[in-house]
Amino acid sequence: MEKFEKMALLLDMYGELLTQKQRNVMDQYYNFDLSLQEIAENVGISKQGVHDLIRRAENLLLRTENKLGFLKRLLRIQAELKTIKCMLELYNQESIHQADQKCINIGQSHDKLLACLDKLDNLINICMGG
Amino acid sequence: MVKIRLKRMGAKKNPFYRLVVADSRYPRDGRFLEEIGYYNPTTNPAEIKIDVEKAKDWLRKGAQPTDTVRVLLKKNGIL
Repeated sequence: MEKFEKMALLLDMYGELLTQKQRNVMDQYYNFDLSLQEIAENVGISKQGVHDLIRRAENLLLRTENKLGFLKRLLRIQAELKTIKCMLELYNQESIHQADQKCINIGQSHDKLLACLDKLDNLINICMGG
Repeated sequence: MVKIRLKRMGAKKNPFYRLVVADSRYPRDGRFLEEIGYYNPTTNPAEIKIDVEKAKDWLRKGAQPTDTVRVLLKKNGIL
């Protein structure tokens, strides 16, 4: 299962590096969860052929990630962003609870901060290959 | 044949899957018979929600889960 998700992400990130045929097959396999048999019928090649195509494409994606490491970086950044969001949320709840004026002021910036974080999230996604 | 498979939703680099029951004769156009749950691997731990009754019902009727769905069903004790 972990491999399945990782491959789907690698496909998002480096899919453009694959040939159109490879990308098509990988898309059916990892994004539509089709079996080798079903893909073989769709594409009009043998099941073994589909298997080889996928294997080769997977290797290319993994080799690329080993060299560039964009996925690893993206996941790390996403994790940090998520932590910040959670803490903001906690702080916001606390400030409402305490009704402290200073806290309320900060709490009001909460939505703005969240919006900023979302923008940052998007930007990072774009930087990492769109 | 009727299959239970994952259908990927969500944006690029933010995978999110629906568990759908679909006819294997229409493998790619996204048509499905019923949605029986979802799977969100981006949270920690991954969030799985499956309608146990519906899943069991489809399995009884002979629906075939894909390998990935099989893993999820096992994790949830349905298989």
